[in-house]
Amino acid sequence: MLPIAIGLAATAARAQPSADELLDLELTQLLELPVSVASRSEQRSADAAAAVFVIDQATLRRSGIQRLPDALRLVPGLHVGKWDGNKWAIASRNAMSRFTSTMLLLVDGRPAYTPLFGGVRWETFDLPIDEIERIEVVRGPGGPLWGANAVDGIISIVTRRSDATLGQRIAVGLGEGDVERFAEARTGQRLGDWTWRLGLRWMDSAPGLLPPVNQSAWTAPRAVGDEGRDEGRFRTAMLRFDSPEDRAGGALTAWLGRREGRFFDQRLVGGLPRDNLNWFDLDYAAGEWRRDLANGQALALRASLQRLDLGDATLEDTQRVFDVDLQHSGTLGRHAWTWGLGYNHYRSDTRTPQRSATPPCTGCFGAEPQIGSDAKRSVFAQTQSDLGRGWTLIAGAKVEDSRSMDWDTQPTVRLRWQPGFGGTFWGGWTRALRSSTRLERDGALFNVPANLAPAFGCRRYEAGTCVIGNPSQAPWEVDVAELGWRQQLSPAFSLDATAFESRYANLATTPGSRVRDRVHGVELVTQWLPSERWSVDASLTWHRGRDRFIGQPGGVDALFLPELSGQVHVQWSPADAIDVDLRWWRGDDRASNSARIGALQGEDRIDLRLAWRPSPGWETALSIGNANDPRAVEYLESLRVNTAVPRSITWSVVWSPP
Amino acid sequence: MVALVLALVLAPAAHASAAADEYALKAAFLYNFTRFVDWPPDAFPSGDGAFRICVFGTDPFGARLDALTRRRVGTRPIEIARPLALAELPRCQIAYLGVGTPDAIEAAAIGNAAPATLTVASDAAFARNGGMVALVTAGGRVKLHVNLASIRRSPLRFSAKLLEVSEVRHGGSGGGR
Repeated sequence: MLPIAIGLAATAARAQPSADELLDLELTQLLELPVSVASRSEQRSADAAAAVFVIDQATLRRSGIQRLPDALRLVPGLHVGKWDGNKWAIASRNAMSRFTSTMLLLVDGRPAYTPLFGGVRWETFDLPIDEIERIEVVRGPGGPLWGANAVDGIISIVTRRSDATLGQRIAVGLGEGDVERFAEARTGQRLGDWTWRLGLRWMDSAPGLLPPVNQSAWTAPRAVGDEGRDEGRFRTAMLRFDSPEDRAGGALTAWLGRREGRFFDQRLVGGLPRDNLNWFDLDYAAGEWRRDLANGQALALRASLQRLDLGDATLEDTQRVFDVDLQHSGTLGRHAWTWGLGYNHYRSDTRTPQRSATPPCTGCFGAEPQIGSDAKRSVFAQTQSDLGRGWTLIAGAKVEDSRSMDWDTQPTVRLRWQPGFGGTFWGGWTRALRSSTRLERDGALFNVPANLAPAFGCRRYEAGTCVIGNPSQAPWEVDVAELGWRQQLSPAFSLDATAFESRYANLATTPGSRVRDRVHGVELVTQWLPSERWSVDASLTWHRGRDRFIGQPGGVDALFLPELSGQVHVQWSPADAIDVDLRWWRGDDRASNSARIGALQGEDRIDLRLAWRPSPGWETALSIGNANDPRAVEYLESLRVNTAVPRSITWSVVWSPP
Repeated sequence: MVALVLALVLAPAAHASAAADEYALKAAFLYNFTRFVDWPPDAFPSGDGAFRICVFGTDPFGARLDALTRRRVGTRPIEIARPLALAELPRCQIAYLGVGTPDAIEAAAIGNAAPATLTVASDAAFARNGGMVALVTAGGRVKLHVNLASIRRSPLRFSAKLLEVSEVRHGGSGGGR
């Protein structure tokens, strides 16, 4: 990715007039120039009354990160654990697992989590990092604006406009430990006054390494350090059309895309690993229409259609998701308001291949009925009122109706104070909900003998089919109180601090199961720009939670995440054509003492990258991932053979002719 | 398929006016103001001869302002400052206010404290509230909103050309001048 990113920087530099060139333009010419990036969001992040962090293009490019989920490691307070060659567990503030279901992922505004379990299959997002404009991450709840699933965080990926990526770009790379080989090709062209871009990416991922017995669910002796059986290949194609931003009748953007992946893992059958092919095929089409109305009002309409086919030896699912979203915003005196309507429909066809295998499985997992669907309707409104003297009041709510919600309300109240220059104080209370998932409602075990039905905890039992799901499962609920302070302490040094407490209700409901019902923490983020050639970002996160066993009074302190974690990123450009990057993560490893399985293992991680642009349009880069540890176990999983993350090396070349 | 892909990838890109980075463009506007606004001689209290452009609060420009330091305003070299205290305002010929939007009272206070400072922000409400110029990003362009009353109260002289291409906004308490 780094090479890619670099190339793109070069492309951007070529496509965009330089700061010097702009200074030579006349006033009237300046007024005519289109603006490539609406930085409304940049400003919003500085002024936001929420814990917002933005990874911009330049940082993504310089990180050298090749795979999108790894890019989220750059976000302070977000916990990322890779548990085999192609799977990640990512969480903010609460317990993490591959099935974390309280984070909302948006790609260009489209919700991108799977309704099957409410979480994100991160491996299905092998996007070319070159095409990403920025990644905005909100730690904490966003339900009042974004709706169900925005409970512990929102990750919003915004791809670049096609008029910002005109021309060609080709990137190739070879490596070991992370990416074995990749190639990316991109072209951006004009079509009348529209622009379009086609981006293709081929990537073959490297296998992980077998960890020691005490760091794996597979407890048989093995040759530690041997390669695992978890390599994969991923193919991505993205097509994007953009109208001019000032098109009469409103600006239009359209996306078409396809992604597919084939990768292995090993599932445990009778304690022994068995090769397991995972696959996914994803097709989507989406469109957006934005129009500035009179009086400073704006309308935006967004619609998308997606079909995702995924599966492995144990479970297959075909999902169709249709989503449409309308937003209308404007100002009235000292109040800025936004309201909107949303409709989301999904249909999920869930198969259990082993059910009819020979011999048939006993108690294998699936969904009953095989086909399930849900329609979500929502209305939201939010106002931001300037109270004067630097005070701003933000209040809003979203009401939502679906199979698990009955026009339930997700409200928020936030207050922001900007007393003088360079400082923002904010605080707020928010309630967010997570709708029940397809498997929570319709989960079932098949081929269960009648005499075992009680032991399996069936809610309904008929002819071998044991339904364990709860169709009337209430949505999860969280109440979050937050306080934040953002300050430009000196021209070169800024600080962003957040403290929060989250209380959850209606979590998983099987008696005896353990849930985390209270989490609090402090998150500190600093940036220091000592000179033009240096940038140092550092952050520290302290999270602590309490767990409770359903049906038992009291709770226990427990850690599924490192209690204390931090990172330091140093960017240094010793010369205009050379970039040096160093990133260091550290997490205490106490999580592993209380819960090895499903816990992020606190580990140091050091990544290095060196990039050189020998001539305009060319860049070559060398990245070393996990430089300090040849075999890092980041996350343990009980159902599959997890592998350790190897030390990785990637060499890449980017050509992007000026 | 491969051939098609290559053909697409390698097809020559059409050349066209590319979009500009928003804050690089706004930096160019700040520089352009120096050509269309006259500052009175007593607007340079420090006597060091430099033309100071100050960014208060959160700095959205970053290194994009650096290009200006290689330019001059008349004979004066341009200096970029990022003061922390509002008391520095009178020493700035142009002040970009990067945090929040001063309300009408604050804008008037700023106008009184530093009448010869050209105040600029990016929020449309700024010009309404009595700030001098707002660089408003809308419809994919940067538009100029100016508050005529605030400009007339100041000793700055704006060229007609600048006012011609700007949208005029009214409002603000007017301060005590």
